[in-house]
Amino acid sequence: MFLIRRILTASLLASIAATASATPPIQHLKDGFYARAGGRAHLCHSFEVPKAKDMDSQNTLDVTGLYRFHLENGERRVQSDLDPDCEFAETNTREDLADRTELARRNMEICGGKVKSDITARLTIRPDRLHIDFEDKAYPSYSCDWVRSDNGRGRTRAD
Amino acid sequence: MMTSRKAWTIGFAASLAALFTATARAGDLHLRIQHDIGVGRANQSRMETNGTLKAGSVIAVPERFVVRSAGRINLRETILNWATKAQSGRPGPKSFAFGDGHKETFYPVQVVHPAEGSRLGASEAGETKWVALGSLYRTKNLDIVPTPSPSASSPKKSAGNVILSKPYKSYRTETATPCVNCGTAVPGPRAEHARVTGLAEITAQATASGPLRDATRIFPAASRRRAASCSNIIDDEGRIGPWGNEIAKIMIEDGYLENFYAQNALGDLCPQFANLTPKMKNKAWLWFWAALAHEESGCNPRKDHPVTYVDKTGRRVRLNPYRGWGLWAMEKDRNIRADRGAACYDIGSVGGQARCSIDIMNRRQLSKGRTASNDRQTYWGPINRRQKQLIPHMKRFQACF
Repeated sequence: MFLIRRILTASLLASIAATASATPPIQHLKDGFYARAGGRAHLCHSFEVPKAKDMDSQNTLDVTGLYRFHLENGERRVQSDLDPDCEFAETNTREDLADRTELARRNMEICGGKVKSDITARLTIRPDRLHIDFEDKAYPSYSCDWVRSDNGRGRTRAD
Repeated sequence: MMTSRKAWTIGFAASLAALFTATARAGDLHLRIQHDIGVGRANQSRMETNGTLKAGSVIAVPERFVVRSAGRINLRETILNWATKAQSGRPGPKSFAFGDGHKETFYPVQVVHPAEGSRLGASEAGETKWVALGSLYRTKNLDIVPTPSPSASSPKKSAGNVILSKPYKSYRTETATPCVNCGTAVPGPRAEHARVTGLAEITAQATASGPLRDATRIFPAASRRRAASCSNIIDDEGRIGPWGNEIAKIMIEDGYLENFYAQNALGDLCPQFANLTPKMKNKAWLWFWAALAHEESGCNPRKDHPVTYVDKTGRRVRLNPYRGWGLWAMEKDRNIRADRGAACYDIGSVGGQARCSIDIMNRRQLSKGRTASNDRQTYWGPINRRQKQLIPHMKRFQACF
């Protein structure tokens, strides 16, 4: 009986742990102020990564307020609330590598079966450095770079 | 949603009750509850339901927060006024988070008369109760009652506890009075309440004169003339339009009200904001939303915002990562917008766009103690470029400067 209880308790704890770690943290990401080191100011402005406990969401990472990345692989498709002929499709991927973590988000607008827009944002997270490649099939691509500032809110010349 | 609505109607005793005097005064505003509400106790950030206030119970709002319009009590303005004054350091309305994540604002009221059948924890009787007045007002669960004589208004106590079963005759009589001639305007609580249920009526009313700025004067446009459709929010005479009414109703919801009406909420877009009456604060916000809508979309709720533009040199420049939509350039892609939460789920209507924008303003700026003019955290480019884009509009609204 005692053994059964131990086993049940162990399985319960394991299942709680598995649930809690459903979205593993990004080991290469440090909180703090990230100063813009490259890219256009209005698309790549400096920003702050809050401590994990202070983040608005534990499942997404907000970069500057303009870009948001999901921390898990997944797909979703939803009907447009603005045009009954259109729907939006999204694919999120995450890759944890030894020296970096890569998050990608692809968003498409599909109207009448035809792709109307196709945009992919890729975020590369290295210790103290962030980089975004932004690809829009309809327009030229661009990128952003940020460097974590040790002295709090310091700015680079790019700012 | 039902959970939220239920939570709206829950009042509860708080551990901070000692900060207030436990007795209602003769000049306080008395409000009768129309439908039963739950009563609970606040245990730090947690809420525990442990009783009920039955229909017919009467609560009191301190006299110093009461706003009168044309000699009559204006309940909506009173609630706003209390929330506004609470920002100045005095203990006052507080926001509590619930299990599902939403927040409600509760006001510390005195229970003047708990109707028969009400249940209050013995240890709480006579203490301040925390009630979601904004919710009760919107759900028409409050009636203004004439303040009875001081002897009648004093809560009857027994060893410090309110006597629960004692009938409060003056109120009960009014509740039971049938509507004899409903077509005739009868002065009294119901007529008063009816006067303040329509937002357009409220905002059109003149408020009592006092030290606060209460005059709507709008200078003619010198440089940045607004699109005509912006008058659907607020026109050049300061009259609130149908879209403006929708916006205003959302801004006074609990969770928003305490932030949008806080002192200096508009920052340098309206330096005199703290000195405005609640009615004028409402108009200042609507003037802001109209100005922002003009700059973003020409006040066109169907505007499909491009992601690029051609600059003076003929070069195509990327303006935003994602395509925008509507009055305030919300993200068009519903998946991207979904990350902003339920408030942005549907922007197919002006009301939906307003709710999403108000929620973004609240989440990114106001609820974090920042003002609307905070340019480092704002969603909107015209706020970043406010000296060139928004300030010229805002300076037309004289009361702000």
